[in-house]
Amino acid sequence: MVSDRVLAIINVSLALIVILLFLNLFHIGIPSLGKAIFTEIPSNAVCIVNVGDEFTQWGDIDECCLESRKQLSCSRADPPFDLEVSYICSTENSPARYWLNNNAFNYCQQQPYW
Amino acid sequence: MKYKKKRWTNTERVFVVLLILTLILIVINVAQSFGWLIPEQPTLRIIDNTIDLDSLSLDQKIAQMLIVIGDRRLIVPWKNMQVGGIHIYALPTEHIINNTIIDFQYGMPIPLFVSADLEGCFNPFAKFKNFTTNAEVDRIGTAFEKGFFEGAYLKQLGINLNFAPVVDLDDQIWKCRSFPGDEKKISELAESYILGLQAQEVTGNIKHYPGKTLVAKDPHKFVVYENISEKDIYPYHYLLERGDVKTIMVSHIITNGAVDSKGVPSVVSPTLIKEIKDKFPSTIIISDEIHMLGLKDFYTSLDEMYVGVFKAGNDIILNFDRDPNEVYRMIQVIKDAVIRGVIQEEQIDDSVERILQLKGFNVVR
Repeated sequence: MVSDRVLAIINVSLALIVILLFLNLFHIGIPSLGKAIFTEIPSNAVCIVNVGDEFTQWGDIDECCLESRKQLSCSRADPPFDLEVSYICSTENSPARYWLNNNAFNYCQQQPYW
Repeated sequence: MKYKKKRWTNTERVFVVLLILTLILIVINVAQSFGWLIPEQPTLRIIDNTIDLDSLSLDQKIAQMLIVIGDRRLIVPWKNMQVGGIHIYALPTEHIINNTIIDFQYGMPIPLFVSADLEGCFNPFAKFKNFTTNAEVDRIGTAFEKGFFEGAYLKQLGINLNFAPVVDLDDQIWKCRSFPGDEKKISELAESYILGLQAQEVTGNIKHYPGKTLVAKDPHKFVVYENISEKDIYPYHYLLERGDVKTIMVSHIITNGAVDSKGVPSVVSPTLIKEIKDKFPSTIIISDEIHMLGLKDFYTSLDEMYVGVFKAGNDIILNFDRDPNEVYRMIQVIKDAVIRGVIQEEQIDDSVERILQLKGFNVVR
């Protein structure tokens, strides 16, 4: 049998969960630094468009995020050029691919359409 | 032998109550996150392919103006809201695409627009079907064939609206999204492409008005100003005047020059959109996806942005937000703006009438 003391601790935990679930139900968010970081485009976000052998930096990170999201998958990868890029978003056999660095990829993941 | 009935302590009673409450709240939260709590709109009566616009509620009219993301997990809320269309991203197999579209269309009183971006050198279906890029097309016959075969393929998948062709000039980034040549050549090739596409009953769309979206920008300036020349808008005017193209997509760029968005992003510029509507009244105006920082940063809240996009005169709004509750909230925000007179219901009716006509219905008021 569970002792009264353990049950009391479980009750407190459940009460906290109930409060959080209530808050979530009524969309009452608790401000978090994590989200605040990505409300603006990080200064060193990089998006590179790759078509065939050509690589072009695309300045519009927002549009780049959307186009990346439209691809079949995004995965970690080493780019074939000298730049710190960590993710590639592509659709098999599609001519256009998108290389994103960590900052750009993290920013993209915060977007409502991701 | 007599059993002594066990009496529950207060702690045990509290535990049971809290446990039940937690379980109930988990179920409600999950249902809410999937949008299952969004109320279902009433079924429409469509007689002889004719829709009486007054039979649609304001919610239904606003929802018809939305194209949302075609994610299978969101099938219930989108159907409950009776949205106007869904957009298909790349998916792993043709079978999944086909089934997704069939499931979405099943039981919808007004069929959905099903859109995709098979354009230039974007091919969400490249895993199973290859098409030439626009850069490889330099003859009118080839452009028609490209449109015709792409249209046939899209139709087979169940897609009826293709956000193509791109008719912006000077593709500095991809070098394959636009057709090659000067503005006149691009216009002629785009026209042939659209004719081919629409011969398969897939609606084409010219984008991104008023141009200059294919140029590399400073990554840290998300509010972009561009000077638009007569050359930039030539393809749009050429194609709209010929009357073959039914829809046009407007970008988020702030423009001056031949087209002046008056200091606001084109997509929320009433002046710019009114100009298109005055010159080409039957054209359906589609906003580019609205969750772009260049647009959002123009407003202090999402609600203001939502109202801005509708009030400017866009007929169809692309909102790819994956949260159905937020999309539903957007509908309520617009509904409230219409009730308060901030947006005229007449304007909503005009847009919905044109959408329904493009979907093949007769509309009466």
